[in-house]
Amino acid sequence: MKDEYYPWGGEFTTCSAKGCVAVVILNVDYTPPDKVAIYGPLKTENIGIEKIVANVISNPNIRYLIVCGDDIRGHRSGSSLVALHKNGIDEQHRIIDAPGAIPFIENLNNEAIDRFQKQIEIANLIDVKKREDIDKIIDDCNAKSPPSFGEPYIAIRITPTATTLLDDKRALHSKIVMNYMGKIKKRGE
Amino acid sequence: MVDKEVPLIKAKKIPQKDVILDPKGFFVIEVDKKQSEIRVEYYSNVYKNKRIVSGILEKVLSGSKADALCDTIVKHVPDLLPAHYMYLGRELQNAQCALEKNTKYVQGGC
Repeated sequence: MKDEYYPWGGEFTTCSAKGCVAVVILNVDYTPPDKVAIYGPLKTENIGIEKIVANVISNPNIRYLIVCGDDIRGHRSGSSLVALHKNGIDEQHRIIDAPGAIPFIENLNNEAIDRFQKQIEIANLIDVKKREDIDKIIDDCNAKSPPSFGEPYIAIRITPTATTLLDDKRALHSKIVMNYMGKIKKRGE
Repeated sequence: MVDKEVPLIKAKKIPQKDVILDPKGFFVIEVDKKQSEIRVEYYSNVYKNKRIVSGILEKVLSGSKADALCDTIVKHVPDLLPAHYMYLGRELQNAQCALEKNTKYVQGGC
């Protein structure tokens, strides 16, 4: 799997990097088969949706997003995700016609949303909870064998920083070597 | 004879509805069992009509121990409300327990 895939960490499970299906699990006890690219829960109608969009468009092999299970009460995050794909956002960054309480997209730009709308086809299985029904749609999507969308789109990059703390005196002292007279023989490198 | 009197204060939990949201932002805590680490995302608040509606991702901190994450948060995200730091300490300890015992972690409220 390319290192660039899925740059924004979350509570998702990755399976086949070449898989064309991602599954969003709402309020349902369901584990998709290993042939999907990625699956995970969706809770919130703002940051939760942003993470799904950022991670899905990072893998151009993903062409279908299946949203299944009962929608999340109050948040209505599943329906808000479907609304984002259909309608995009307004000038206030609110998902147009989303039923959630606070469906605002603040960490993605319009280009990323546009890419999401073009790369992905949504299978709206909100309210569907039967394993065999969801599995069938996954099989149908896989059977289409769609081509990759092209290059990954990295909407957000989390860059590791140096972890050594220069003001950590314990770390500094551990590197000092004293001689028998109590004088410093060698400092840390 | 008593030289000094010191108050004994009984602990009392503040109801969720009375918790003051931190104007500096909020955190999302997740346990990544695949990487064996706790990931903490720090967001600054986004307001619409004087109401917090979302956040801008500012920093991501990761580690496997609550104490290290607490120290790192204090260093890299200064000036939070004291109650917010204490909440993070509790939650990160819960997250560490979930990571070590391989149980599900769900971030709790204040």
